[in-house]
Amino acid sequence: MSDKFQEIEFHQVKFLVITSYIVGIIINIFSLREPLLQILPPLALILVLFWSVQLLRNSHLITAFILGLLYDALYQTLLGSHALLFVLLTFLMLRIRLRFRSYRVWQQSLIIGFYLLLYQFLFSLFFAPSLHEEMFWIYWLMPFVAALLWPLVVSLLRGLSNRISTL
Amino acid sequence: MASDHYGQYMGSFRSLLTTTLEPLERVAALPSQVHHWYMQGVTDQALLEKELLQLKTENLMLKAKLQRLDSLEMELDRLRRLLGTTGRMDMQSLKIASILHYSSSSVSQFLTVNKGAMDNVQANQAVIDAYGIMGQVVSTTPVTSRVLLITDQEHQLPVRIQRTGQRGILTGLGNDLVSLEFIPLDSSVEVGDVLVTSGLGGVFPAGYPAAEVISVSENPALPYLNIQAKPIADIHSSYEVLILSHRREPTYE
Repeated sequence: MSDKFQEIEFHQVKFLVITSYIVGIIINIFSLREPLLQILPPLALILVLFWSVQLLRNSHLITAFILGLLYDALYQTLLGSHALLFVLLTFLMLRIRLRFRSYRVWQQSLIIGFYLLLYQFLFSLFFAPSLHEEMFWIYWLMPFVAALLWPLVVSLLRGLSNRISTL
Repeated sequence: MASDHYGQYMGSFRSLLTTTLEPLERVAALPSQVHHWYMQGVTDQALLEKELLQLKTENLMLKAKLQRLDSLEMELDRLRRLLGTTGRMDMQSLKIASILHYSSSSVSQFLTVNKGAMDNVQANQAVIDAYGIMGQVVSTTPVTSRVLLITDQEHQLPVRIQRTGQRGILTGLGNDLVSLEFIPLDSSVEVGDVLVTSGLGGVFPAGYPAAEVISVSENPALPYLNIQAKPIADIHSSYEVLILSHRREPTYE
């Protein structure tokens, strides 16, 4: 997976990027109605991380900020708090993205899982979520789900963007 | 972040964001709507007729009750005038709204209803269902509005215990529970006590049932009882809610 790199420019996959964000947000909105589905990570964040590794010309920080604001509106939290978390994680990813590209997918998954664990930790400091009984497990299992989702996201979006950019 | 926290300066910006999200929310609501339509299509006609009969009976009984209440209300009004107290009867106009979707996460619990600023819904209006208080409107978009449930951790509701008249504050705990705070150790609270809104604070009208006490425990180190309650309103399975918009009648001189 990591051996064949193809430089993709933002303007080639513009629609795919925007559509992927929209779909991510829609899935997260849908997961708000089912407590069990809250095990899903914030998909827009995963996607920002993915695109920031994929499209090297852009810094993606502004995208992360705007998506964070949308998540704030979605979860009815203090405006800017999700945005700050998103920007922070994107920044962490930007620092290592060149090395990250050369890792194998399972190594990437591990790092994503670690990042999302950090996210959940900061989230619990920020918002003091009410977690009892099964919600506790759902909350702290989320990074693992994110790590499991990562290969899926990578193979799907890489395949799609390769196909689109070679059109 | 500070301007959002310390004031309502970001209200319009927040409603802009919510408006942006709205089409996405509608798309996300599609699967459950399709399920709902499908279920409606396959419901037995006999079942519907039975339900109709039940509702008719219930309606009749409620109407009979209402007749008595009307006369009681007039009586109360008359007595208040005799006493010379300021009889402030809140005239409320109701709006029926249906729930578009619920969202409950570990940080917030709210629902979205299909009446918005274009239907004259404003922030801070109380929302009830057939059983009791559900919450209050916190933000509006042109066609929808968001209702913060009383179980949200950031929601506080002034209540009194119906049996004793003691006042306290009902705070949301998340996970569909609320807790009653500021009730001193020596007061009498029992499991099953009904908490009704006290009307203090001016957001919620007085007298609507809000929650029912489910557990009372005592920690000698704290000056107040630790009381948990569950909301009386059917928070997760109502389809229709009522938005109260209260305008006060002029007080009697």
